[in-house]
Amino acid sequence: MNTNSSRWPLFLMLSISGVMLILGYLTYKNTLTALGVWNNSSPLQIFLKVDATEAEKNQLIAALKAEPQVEDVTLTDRQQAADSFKSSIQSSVESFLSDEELTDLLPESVEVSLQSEINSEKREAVYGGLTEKFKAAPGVDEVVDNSTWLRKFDRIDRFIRFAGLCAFVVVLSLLSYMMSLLLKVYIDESRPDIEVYTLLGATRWSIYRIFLSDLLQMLVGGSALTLAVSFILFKMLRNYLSKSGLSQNLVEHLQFMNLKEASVFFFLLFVCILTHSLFTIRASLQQLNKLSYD
Amino acid sequence: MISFKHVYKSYATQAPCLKDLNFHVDKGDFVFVVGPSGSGKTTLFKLISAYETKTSGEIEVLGHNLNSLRQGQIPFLRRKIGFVLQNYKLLKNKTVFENIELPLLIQNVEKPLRAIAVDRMIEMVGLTDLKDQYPDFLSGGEQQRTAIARALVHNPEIVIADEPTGNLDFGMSQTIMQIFRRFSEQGLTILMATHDQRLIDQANSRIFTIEKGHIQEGLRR
Repeated sequence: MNTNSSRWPLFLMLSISGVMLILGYLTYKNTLTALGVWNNSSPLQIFLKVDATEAEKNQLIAALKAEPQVEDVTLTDRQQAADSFKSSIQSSVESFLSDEELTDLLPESVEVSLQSEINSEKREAVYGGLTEKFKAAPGVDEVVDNSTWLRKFDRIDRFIRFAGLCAFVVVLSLLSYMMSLLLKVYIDESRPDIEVYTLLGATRWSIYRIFLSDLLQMLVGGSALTLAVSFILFKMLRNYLSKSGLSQNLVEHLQFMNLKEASVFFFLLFVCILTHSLFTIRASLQQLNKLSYD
Repeated sequence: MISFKHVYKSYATQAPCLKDLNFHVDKGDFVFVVGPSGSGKTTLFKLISAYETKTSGEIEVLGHNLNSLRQGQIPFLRRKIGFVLQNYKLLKNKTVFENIELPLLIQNVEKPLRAIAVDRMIEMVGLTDLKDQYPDFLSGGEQQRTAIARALVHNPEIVIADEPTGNLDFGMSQTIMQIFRRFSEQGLTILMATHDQRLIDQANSRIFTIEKGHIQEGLRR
């Protein structure tokens, strides 16, 4: 097809929009991941007294495991608690606390996770029951139940998912609409070429094919550029956040698209744009149907 | 080959621009179509190539009754017709070779056969040295010879030449006419519109004169 002026805007438009879409998706995905970092930790933590004996710890763990709704019980000793604390804080704690002091400061704790079949409404009641039952158990200093707070977090999580999905659909629709507008300009600019093809006996499908193969080339090229630019931007942002003193734990959880997500993303992009474009090409060519050869 | 019976053509509410056309063109005929500007020469060619539909009457082209020709069949009719137009209609981003190759590409002719046919045509119109040039680097006569080669490369049964020498000097016009004559002698049907009386005078052809919407036939000897 003709080398016309809307070819490069079409390509750039596709690439920039693609980058925006991917960055939008990554924000959405990593917000959920960040929430997941909190969400995956057990909402029920039982902190043990400093002088709790081994027998008391074992008795507590056995009693918790005997509860029908409990899936797993994990004991975190002082060293593990100190390591976890240090990894979640970027700034060096050694500057004001030695390893020994930190280990002494943080208590041992037991985390309780429930069976996955128990739904979110019941979980709150179960955690409440466990709190009541074990807050006065031997060796227990304090039981912290964060399930109510996490339920609120869960609502935010759902809201973000829904808003993210809506934004994604809106941006994708806008993108394919703008692509089809540019494609219309592209077709109009290619009118002299189409006239020649029509004159020489090209069928409508063979003209469709010329435009669609042109568009497909741009889509493939634009997608490759989109992916490369998004990945570079993501890496740069991650490095920046890592150096800026944000929680190391959180930075480590920032993720780019995996293969499955990228496949679904580009499949949707291709289907949406190609479908929209096919209708645009059809409508534009119908308008150009009364071509004159003079 | 081409048959018009009581054909009328009018646009919207205007009076008919072509009235009661009756003629028959046989295989190998060389027909000049003459008449003043706006007399309907181009409309006549558009009717033959199904760019326009008649208002009434019957048109038959290459065995196709255009009254009943479906939209999807039109490209296949046009593949049997070669077009040479005043403004050449070449693709600027394709070379001489690629422009001439287009009709064969559209008809899915295999690459080796395309190359043979295109090279043969390029040689016949004398553009061998220019086959890799782009149209913008060619003179008017060279562009028109490219257009003629493109119109003939797929062995059409009819050639419609609408003012093919309109932008050329007399010397180049004669060269173009020689090419057409050579193909006409081989049995190709040619309909040519021209204003150049000198070209008509040199030829031994049928002449259709369109005036006030009517067609009159004469023979130049």
